[in-house]
Amino acid sequence: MKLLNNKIIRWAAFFLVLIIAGLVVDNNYYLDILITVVFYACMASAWNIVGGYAGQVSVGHVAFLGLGAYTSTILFLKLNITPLIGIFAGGIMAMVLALLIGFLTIRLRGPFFTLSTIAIAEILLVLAVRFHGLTGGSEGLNIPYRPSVYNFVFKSYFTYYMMFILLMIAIVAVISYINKSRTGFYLRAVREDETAASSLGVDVLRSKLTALLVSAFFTGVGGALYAQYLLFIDPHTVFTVSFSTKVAALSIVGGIGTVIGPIVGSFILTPLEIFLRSQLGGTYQGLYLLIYGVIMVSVILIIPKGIYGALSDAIKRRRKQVKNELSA
Amino acid sequence: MLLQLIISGILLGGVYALTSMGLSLVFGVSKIVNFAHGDFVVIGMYSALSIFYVTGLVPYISWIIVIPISFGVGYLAYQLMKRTIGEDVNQIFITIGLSMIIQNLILMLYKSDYRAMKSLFDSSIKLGNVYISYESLLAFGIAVLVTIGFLWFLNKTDTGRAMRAVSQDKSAASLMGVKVEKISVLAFGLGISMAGLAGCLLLTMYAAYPTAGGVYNLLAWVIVVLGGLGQVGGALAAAFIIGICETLTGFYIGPDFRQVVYYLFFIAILIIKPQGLFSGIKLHKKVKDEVTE
Amino acid sequence: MLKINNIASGYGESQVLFDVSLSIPEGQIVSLVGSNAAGKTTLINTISGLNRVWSGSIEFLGEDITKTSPADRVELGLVQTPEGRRLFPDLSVKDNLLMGSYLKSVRGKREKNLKNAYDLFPRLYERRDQMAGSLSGGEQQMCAIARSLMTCPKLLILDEPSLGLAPILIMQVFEIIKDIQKENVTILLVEQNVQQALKLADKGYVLESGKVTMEGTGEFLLHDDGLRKAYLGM
Ligand SMILES: Nc1ncnc2c1ncn2[C@@H]1O[C@H](COP(=O)(O)OP(=O)(O)OP(=O)(O)O)[C@@H](O)[C@H]1O
Ligand SMILES: [Mg+2]
Repeated sequence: MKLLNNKIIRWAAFFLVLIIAGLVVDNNYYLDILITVVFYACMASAWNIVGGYAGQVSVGHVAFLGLGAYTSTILFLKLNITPLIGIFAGGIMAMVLALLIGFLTIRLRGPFFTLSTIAIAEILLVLAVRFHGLTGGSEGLNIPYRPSVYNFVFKSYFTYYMMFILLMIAIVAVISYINKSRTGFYLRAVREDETAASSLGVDVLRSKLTALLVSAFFTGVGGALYAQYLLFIDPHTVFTVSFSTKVAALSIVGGIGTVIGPIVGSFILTPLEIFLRSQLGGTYQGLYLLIYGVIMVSVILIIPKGIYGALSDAIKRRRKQVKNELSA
Repeated sequence: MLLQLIISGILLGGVYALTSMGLSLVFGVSKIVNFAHGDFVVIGMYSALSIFYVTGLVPYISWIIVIPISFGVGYLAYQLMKRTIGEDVNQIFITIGLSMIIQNLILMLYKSDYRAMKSLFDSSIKLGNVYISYESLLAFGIAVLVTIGFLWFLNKTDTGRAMRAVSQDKSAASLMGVKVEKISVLAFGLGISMAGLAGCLLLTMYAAYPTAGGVYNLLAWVIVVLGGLGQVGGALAAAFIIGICETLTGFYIGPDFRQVVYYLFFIAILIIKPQGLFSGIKLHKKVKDEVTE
Repeated sequence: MLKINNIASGYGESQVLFDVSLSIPEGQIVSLVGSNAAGKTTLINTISGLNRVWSGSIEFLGEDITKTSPADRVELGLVQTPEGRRLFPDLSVKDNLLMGSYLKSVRGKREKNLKNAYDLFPRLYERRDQMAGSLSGGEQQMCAIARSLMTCPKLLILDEPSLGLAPILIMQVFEIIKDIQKENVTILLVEQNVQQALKLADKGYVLESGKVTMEGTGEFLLHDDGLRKAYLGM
């Protein structure tokens, strides 16, 4: 019992269960579902660093994903640089873009920051279609199926699954680290009351920028990994704003501004989406996104802290009650 | 050619002005950060389309029906959103959620095809070297008419004046006996009606597709920011600039770059002159003593 | 005319008013004085319905209005000229005045009221097309009072009408208040200008830290030693 109270052990147990689940299913269909769930959990967690912790709502996060995916894929296809390096190059490119966006727009008030992130994603979408010499235009780019470590293409889905789990471990670790660090403290202060925080000497812009950079890096890495998994990218999948809204929805539904929230969101909504898509197929195009929308609106109206936020509040209240009863 | 493009741009800008005045109203009076504004434009498009399929009425007539439909939609949407007024972040999320709902509802009902209206006219007006299509002229005419009506309403009626008052100071307005909540709903409904009307008119020029709302949403915000937040006069001027900008880039750089140019414009304005290009222009015309004399 | 019975109110968790009771007889000028942050504005905003009553009740013309909306209170004739004027800065002077007669019940008298307002403040007539935000402080105060008069108030609450005005203008404002009273308008005057306010008043209240600490005729309070020391430095 005491063992489970330790955060690190709880996380280790969680990831162990995930890995075992991957070993047990041993069936590409279910592994694909697991990979998708973990991928979206990664993306939602990364988004949450800036959207949840820093309170800067980005709906153009897909720009980082797309840039990461294109960077590693183009490096591999044109220069034959192994995606092993390309993935990190993708993350770094995403950070460079984030730095640019950050310098330009992070000081804007909420909605205007959001609008500029959308604008930037849309601009990249058009550019990716336009410069087809480099990007393959709207046909996209295919990564040839030649499994090898250098090509970063694998026969077994389980290998990919492990890659995404590793990414998720890295994200969770970094978020936990930030949470304990000065930046995390600043971010919480800024979220509580920006004016008060800045008058107390918190460097608001710097904290937000740090959050944006970290978030962009992981999103870029995730994009590059995802490209290696799909072996195909095109502008309309990796630069579409609806990807960003979906990722934001996962965080909100799970619980914004918490480490666990986005993961909870992805583990609930992603399987639901896959299920609905397979059940409904093409007959009701868009139904699952409609349901996403309905869930998102309902959560904001009914439990604005999200599922995890509401649950942990309830547990805290219950604990307090028990404590009070015991002491009385 | 340049003159031709500028004139087409102005005609298009007239229709865009409707969307952005609507957004200005929603943002300024109802205090709602509406990220689904473009989707209300698209609702207007599909409403006009459906009316055409069922009754054969063309958009030049059916706009009279589309306006009350949009008002109703706006009324319902407001009921959903009003609880988030004052919380920027939740408002962004809830309107994004609403946008997902609208887009995918339309996708389910109408499939993802591009749907356009067949042209009603097979000729266009020729003025010197400039050709003007009847479509854009008619759409522009209706837009101008409605804009004039709207400005009259805002400046000369008690309800319009109350809207301006609420946008400037809610609680002072309530001390004058204004029911702020009612004015808020009304402004929201009107704003969405104008979006719907714009959609109806745009259908005569552009095809409708379920996710078009994203483009129109940004467009409306670009214009509103360019014109200076909450300033109807500025939004009007900005709409023409964007209209012209769109036809010029469409011709000289390529149609796919139309949006890129004004997105860049948008980011530049936000950074360099966030109060908008026309921060001096106010929305009031001088009211010449309509009561005392 | 107005009776306040043991009300408590405040913002969020913090209570500002504690068990405040006061009554305003018809036709009189009642002054409410007190130092900064005593809760005067909070009290009258509670009377106007902008702040929620935590406990206690408010009666106006024999009717319980504790839960009535601000707009409906205006409809009953309870009108406030808020602290700091609170004009609509981007509306013309005339539009500001017209906002005063927004209610349907007073719209019929709009022309007459507007003429009266311009007669009372010729300055406003000269500036009628100017944006209210560009008026001088004194002009703004006049505009704010004129705007309230457009609403045909039965009870007019004025929150620090002399704030930031030159002495000569302050005299003028107090004269105007007397004139308004003569038109059968009951007045609740909130002031830091204790001497003037009490001289004018039929009745006065002193509010300190959210509690009524003294009440009596204006004359009586003016001669109270404690009050003279605290507020008049004598
Ligand atoms: N909107 C608000 N939110 C929170 N606290 C407030 C608010 N308005 C006033 N207060 C607090 O309530 C207390 C009373 O303020 P109030 O404005 O009623 O004082 P006042 O007597 O009108 O002062 P003054 O003479 O300076 O106008 C103050 O401590 C103030 O800080
Ligand atoms: Mg005060």
